[in-house]
Amino acid sequence: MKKDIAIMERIYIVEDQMIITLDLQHMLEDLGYEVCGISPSYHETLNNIEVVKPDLILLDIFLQGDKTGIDLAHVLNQNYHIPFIFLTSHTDDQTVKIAKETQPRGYLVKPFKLNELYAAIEMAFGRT
Amino acid sequence: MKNSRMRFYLLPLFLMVIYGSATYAFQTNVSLLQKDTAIINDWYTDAFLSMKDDLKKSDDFINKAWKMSIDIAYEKGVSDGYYYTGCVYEQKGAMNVASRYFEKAISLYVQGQFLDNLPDCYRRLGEIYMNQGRNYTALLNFLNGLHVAEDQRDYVNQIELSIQLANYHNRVSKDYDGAISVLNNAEKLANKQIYLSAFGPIYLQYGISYCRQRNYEQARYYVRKAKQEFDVTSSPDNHLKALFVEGEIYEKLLDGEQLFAVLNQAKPLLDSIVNDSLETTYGLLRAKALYQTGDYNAALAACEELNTKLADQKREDDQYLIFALQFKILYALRDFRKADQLFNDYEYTRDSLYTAQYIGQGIEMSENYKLDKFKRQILEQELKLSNSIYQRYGFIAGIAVLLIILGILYFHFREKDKLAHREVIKNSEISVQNEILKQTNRHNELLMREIHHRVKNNLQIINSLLSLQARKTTNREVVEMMKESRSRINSIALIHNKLYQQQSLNKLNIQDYIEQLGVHLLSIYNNNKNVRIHVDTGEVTLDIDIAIPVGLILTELITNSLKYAFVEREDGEIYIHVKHNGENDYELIFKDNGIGIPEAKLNQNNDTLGFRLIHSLTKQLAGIIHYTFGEFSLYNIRFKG
Repeated sequence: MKKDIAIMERIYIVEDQMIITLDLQHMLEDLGYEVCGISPSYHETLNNIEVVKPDLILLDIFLQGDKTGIDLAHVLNQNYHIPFIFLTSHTDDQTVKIAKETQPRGYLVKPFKLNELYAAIEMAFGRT
Repeated sequence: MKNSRMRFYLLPLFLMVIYGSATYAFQTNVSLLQKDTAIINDWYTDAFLSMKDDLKKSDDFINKAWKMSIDIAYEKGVSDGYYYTGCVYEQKGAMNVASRYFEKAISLYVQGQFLDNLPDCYRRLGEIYMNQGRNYTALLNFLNGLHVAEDQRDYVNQIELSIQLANYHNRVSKDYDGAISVLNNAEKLANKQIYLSAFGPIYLQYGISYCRQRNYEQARYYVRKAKQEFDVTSSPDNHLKALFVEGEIYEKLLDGEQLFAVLNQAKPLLDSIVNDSLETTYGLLRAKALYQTGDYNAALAACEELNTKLADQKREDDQYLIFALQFKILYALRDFRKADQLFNDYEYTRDSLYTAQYIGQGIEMSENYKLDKFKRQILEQELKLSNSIYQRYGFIAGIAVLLIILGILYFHFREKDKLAHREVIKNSEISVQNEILKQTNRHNELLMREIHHRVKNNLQIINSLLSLQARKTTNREVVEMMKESRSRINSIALIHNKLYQQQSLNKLNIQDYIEQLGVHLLSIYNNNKNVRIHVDTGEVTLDIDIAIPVGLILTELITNSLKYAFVEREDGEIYIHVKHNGENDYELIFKDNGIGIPEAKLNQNNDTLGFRLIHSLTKQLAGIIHYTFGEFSLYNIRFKG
């Protein structure tokens, strides 16, 4: 399951719970991806990705501050064209519906297992 | 049933029969009495009608009726008996006897309030008294009769009595104006009621009144009319009276020749009847005529003749007239000595003072009567007025009652309206409160969901912490312990996740939950083996307090099976059943077709954390655990929900 160092994709994590982020970071690194940045809020994310330019963003829906992952997704679609996967524990109809409108590459429900994470990321990159 | 219905119909029928027969009996009784009294009244009427022609027959009828009245105790009949008998005696000319009967009749009529014949009775008695010179008593009777007649609206007797009253004024009280006014009333009434036979007497009295007032034109006019009314053959008395009034007019006009002509006319009529009073009047007029023609001696002789005739009669006014004439004749003859003696004689025989008083009393009585009548009119008017006042008060009271009722109704409906309005307000308040409650409830639900969500998230953080911790060691035993701990935490997190997602906030449908738990544990412990987990819990739902221990027990059992039961096998089956046996009685059956636990290892296992957890949690659920190992390893836990 581990990947070649040469073609390591750079993944950015947007999540307000840092312990979960840490665990996730380990999981991603175990799977052979590079975690190029972590931020808990909308504004910090926008500031960072200008510089970092990740290949994929794992995006929690409910963030610190007044803006949500959905708001961030719209900005990403309009200005950066960076693919993203929603990473959330919310599965209610309303959340799924508004998330769908942002055309994400995937929608992972927490808690997820390593293989689920892997499959979702690989799908997002268009690889199986 | 039928019997009681029969009785139901018979009872009214019976009552009707009793009522009918009673009414019939009563009616026959009444009609019998009515029949008798009708016969009596008929007999009296017959008697009255035949009185002028056949006194004997009349007397028989009266006696028959009178006797029968006494027999059946018919009071009016008895009273009538006296009256009709009085009439018979009057007809016979026995005025004294007649007056006794009339007096008795009057007292009985007044006593029994039988008013039909009462005015007539008063009139007849009054006339008798008048002729007897008992003027005052006569007047009393006339006035009483008039009273009753007016009350009874007995027009005939009202007219007849008025004529008698006028006669009284003309003859006794000399109140000619009074007489004329009484006659005016009588004439009007007679015209109105078309009572023809009254006109003759009325005209006659008019004649007398006007004659005495020296209004000779009017007097002659009325006398002529009276003569026309009184037929010579059918009522010679009255015709004679009219003639005598005419004579009086000529006498007053000092027309002796005309007076003689009238007297000559009267003479044959007078001879055809028997009437002392009229003969006296004739004699007096003749004497006056002789006096006026200068035949004094003949006049004096006539006076003497009259005096002897009147000697046994107590007719004071006539005697006075004769005396006055004699006195004048004697003076004309210049026989002063005889004249003085006559005057003295007359003074002795006649108490002039008494007479004046007597007449005065009559005038007083008449005035009293007028006053009384006037008072009665005032009384009647007052009665009418008070009646109208009562009517007005009644009307006002009616309106007041109506207004009060309307007021009550108005307030009633207004109060009702108010109440309805209040109810509407109350209802809207209630609905607002309901809305608030609903919102609060929704808010609370939201809060509960949020709590479940946060608990789940926190458990996930714990899970991640353990995961991070596990990375720090390579000790296989520690990694395994971390893995088990994480799966235990996850089984609790799953419950909160379920509760957060589903409709109910504290009751969990465990079918989905156990299936998800199985999938999760399979993903952790399935070492590329084909193990299937079959869950069948039906519709069993559990409270969160029960669901968490049950979830943890199952986590241990599934983990145990996945780790140890299918060693050296490629596939396996796990069956999980949860049954609800009774109100508080649940049964969890877990079995797998794995190798089971050998007896030696079982004792060892009892000491592991997994088994300790299973026993402790069963205890927490107040349950009992059984397990057997054979073809299937079977765990049976009965617990209270």
